[in-house]
Amino acid sequence: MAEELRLPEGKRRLDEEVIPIKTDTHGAVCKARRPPASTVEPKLKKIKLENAPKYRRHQQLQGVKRVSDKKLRSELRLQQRLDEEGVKRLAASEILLPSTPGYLEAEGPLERTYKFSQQDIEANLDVGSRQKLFDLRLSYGPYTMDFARNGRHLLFGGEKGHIALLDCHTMKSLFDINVRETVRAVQVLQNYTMVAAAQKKYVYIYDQNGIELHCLRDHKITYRLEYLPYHYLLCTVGEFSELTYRDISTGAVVASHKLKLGPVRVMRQNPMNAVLHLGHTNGTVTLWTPNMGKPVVKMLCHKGAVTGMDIHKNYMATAGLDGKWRIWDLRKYEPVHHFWYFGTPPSWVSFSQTGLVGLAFGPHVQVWKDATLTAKPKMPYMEHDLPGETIECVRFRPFEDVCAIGHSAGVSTLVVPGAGLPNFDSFEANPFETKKQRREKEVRDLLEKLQPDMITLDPMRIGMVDDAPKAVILEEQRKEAEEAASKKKKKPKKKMRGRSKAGKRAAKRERQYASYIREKAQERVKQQGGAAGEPPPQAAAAAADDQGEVGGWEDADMGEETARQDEASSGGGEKKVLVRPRRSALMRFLRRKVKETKTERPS
Amino acid sequence: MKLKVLHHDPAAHERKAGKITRYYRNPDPQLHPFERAREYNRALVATKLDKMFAKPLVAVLDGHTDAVKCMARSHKRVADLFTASCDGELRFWNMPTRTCTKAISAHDGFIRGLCVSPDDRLLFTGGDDKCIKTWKVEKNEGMTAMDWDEVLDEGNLVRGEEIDTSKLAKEVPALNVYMAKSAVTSLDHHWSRHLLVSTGDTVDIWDHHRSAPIQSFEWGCDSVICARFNPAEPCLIASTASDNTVGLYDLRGSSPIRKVLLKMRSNAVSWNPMEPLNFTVANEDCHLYTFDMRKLDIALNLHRDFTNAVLDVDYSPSGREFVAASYDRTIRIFRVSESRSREVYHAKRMQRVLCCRFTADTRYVVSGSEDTNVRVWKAEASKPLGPRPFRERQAMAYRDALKRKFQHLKEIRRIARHRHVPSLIKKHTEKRRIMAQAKKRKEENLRRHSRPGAVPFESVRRKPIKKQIE
Repeated sequence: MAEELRLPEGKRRLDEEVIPIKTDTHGAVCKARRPPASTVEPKLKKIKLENAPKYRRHQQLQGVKRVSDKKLRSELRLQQRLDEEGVKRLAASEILLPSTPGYLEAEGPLERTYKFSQQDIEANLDVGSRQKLFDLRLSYGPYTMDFARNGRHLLFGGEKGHIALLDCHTMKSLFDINVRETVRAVQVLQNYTMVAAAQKKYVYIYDQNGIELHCLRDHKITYRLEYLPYHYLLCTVGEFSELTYRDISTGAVVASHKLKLGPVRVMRQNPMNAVLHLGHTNGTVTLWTPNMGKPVVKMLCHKGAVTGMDIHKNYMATAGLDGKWRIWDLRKYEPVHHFWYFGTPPSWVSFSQTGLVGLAFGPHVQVWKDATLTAKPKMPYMEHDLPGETIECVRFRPFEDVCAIGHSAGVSTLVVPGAGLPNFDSFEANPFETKKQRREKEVRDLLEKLQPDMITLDPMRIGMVDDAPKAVILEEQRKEAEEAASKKKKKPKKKMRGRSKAGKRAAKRERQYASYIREKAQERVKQQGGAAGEPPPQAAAAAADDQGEVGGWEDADMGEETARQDEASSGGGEKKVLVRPRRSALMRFLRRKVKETKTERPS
Repeated sequence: MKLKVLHHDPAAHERKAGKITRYYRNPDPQLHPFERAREYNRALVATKLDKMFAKPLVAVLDGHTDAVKCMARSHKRVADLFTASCDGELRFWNMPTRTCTKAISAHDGFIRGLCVSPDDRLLFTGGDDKCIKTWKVEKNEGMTAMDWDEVLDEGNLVRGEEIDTSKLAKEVPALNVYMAKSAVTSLDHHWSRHLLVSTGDTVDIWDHHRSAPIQSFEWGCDSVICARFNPAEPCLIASTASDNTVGLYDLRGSSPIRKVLLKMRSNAVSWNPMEPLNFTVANEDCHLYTFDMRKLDIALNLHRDFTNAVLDVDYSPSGREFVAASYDRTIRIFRVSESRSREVYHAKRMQRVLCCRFTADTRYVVSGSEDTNVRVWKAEASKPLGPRPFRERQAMAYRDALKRKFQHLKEIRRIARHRHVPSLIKKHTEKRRIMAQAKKRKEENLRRHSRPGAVPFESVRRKPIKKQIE
């Protein structure tokens, strides 16, 4: 059972095909005849075509023949040819990738991969891989964790105040501090030199030495942190149901949405389009971008609260309190599979880079393979138990076959063969990057920072032809021009007889503002009055769900919301106007807590 | 159990002294999210960098004591430039060293015509004193190519060296003098034969070895302004005349072939060297018109953006671009297929620009203006001079490709198109725009209140053409 080098199907080693070199009578090298095609398996040509779809980003153009403009036609043809050539070359270049993915396979009809314990696997590991395994027994748990994007550093935070940053190569901690207050979530930012922690009241940012750099007082009682690396946005959500995007390169709050959906304890980003997925206590999952004050998509995923979620490519995995965890197709917003669980509901769901699903149920961890394929897997890929502990967090280490779990008694790692992508790209995330490379990358990343308003459901939208009807485009242009005009500061008219005095001007402004507020309030009252008779849309969707086996999704709002996302962003959104002064959310929360504790205490 | 666990050997990735750090690439799209958005960002940054690095003025060659009226470059030697001024002075320049190698008082009064023989040995000048003179051109020793990189301290604008005028032989005798019947307004040499064309009251064809013109063309006008030989057809000449016509002449016949009457006068004409069917004329109405010589009733293209009369035009040897000089104190570079200019150059002290030329290597543009200076500009304002390392060239090619890919996006187009121009030109441009709009509106109103078809739509390419005369 020693490690065996096995190439995946369709891949061959460079030295496999040996073409004998013939020399003629004079000793000159003449062309050797290739061995017959059947002996060379598989053909290089076939490899190219097999892997090409992965690299195909361009749609096949239809009807180029019919284009009447000669120049345009030839340009389109050339572009098409170049695209195809590019795809082929990329597919062919795969042969240069240095490593192949790991695997764990059962032999014989009776073996099952989930029956293999970590001890079994560890016994067959090489020394280098064995070094990646550790079991830290710590007394400030339960622990949450986050890996840096290149998988080199592990940040973990114990709920009782312990935060540490571990270098997984040298196995040395960069810092190890106790903040003496609750730590709810931790997140590594652009690289390991800046990390964020959601603590009792605020979010704090530390450097790689554990020195507090910032205290973000705008983010109150935060439960989940997410970081969008290409946009430099730190996103937080928590008790007050407020989703805040903060640009960590400038420090500015880019957008803040009041969700009005209750405390949010589940949030993950879709790494392919930077849309945030939020799981709510009523079983819905909402998708958010910084540009819209409303969710771009709203899905009813479970009949109980959503407890865990993660996204991989076009698929989302969710776990709920309704006894199921599900896989969703994000292209159609429809369920693919559902799986039953028994006992403790999953506290965490996590996808690995290769699409393995990791779930934590109380003291158990399960890893499922091929859960996103059409054929539903019948049994898990791997299982692991930590008797007596509660597992809080499961994270797969990027570019390694390692999974870290944070639990009530510390942090430990498991081997999950096939979890990591075998080949990294030095310009994206390099586990072995040098100090100089890190610094160069930082500059490059900052130059390439994407603007928050570029976040859309379809990331390839930019640079495409706007195929909206002409009327819509004209309307947008008109609105844009109007907005630009309104932004221009108008010079107040100079009036005679004391009507341009400072006091008069201030009074007029006040009058205008008051009437604006009145108008808005009346509008709102009108809307609320109109909607009172109908059932809320979520309830309706839930009712629909009850009839069918699987969960449904709300398409009522989605059509218009996703259709022209940028409309709302360009319109600037409505200004929220408060009729009467509101108590701060923090104050209300604290009062409620005090009330609760008073009622709970026996008198 | 079959097992393989991924393991990268840290020793293989360790930094070794004296060794280059290896970069690993993986083209998997999963590792490169937001590729299009990031490419767009890179294109935006590249466009901005282009603006930052745009430093087009390379050198100012001063020495003339009057406005520089005309100029010529040698065909094979990139370094050589010849200029002539309104006071009859002829100067030979070496561009890389920015030195004047010879200054001759060639004519009494204006020199209006200047051309070089195809073997680069003879120089011809013609002026208001009705003389056409021949001058010998000596090779600049060791300076056959434009060795900018050795001479140029990039970014630092070095003025031409002071010439000791006493050392330069002022009274060099001409090799040959031909007497024309009228003042010479322009001069051009045949691309292969020993023939010259001069303009004045008539279009005259001269042989090197004859003292009188071998042929003369006349077509009902008192003064011809400019004439040029076609680079491919050995017997074809295009000319512009003061009666607002642009005419074609065939040496084999005794009379002109055809001409086209425009609304205003054309000051210069230049053949496209790569598509020798086409030529461009610089018109007094601020526009340039490109014509196909087979079809003179409609222009192939109209090139606008100038705010005053266009005085000179010259094609790049690549045939893709041409440079034009204007009375509004700017020079502009146009792409042949586009109607708006690609680039505009102006300098604080540059006055009316009377002549301009592309250099033989297409990398530079030379202009001569009323402020007595000759200026050398880069044809690509932000391209670095001199050879670049392979990686830098690759990076530049990548940036160019990105800029091309996203050129139509609003923000990028806005930044790429914007040029700072003197306020006067900006004002005039705006005024011209408003005038054009008003005209269009008026026409539209006229059309609306007339019988259908009474006010036909007319192409802007046909509008300036009054009629074609065979």
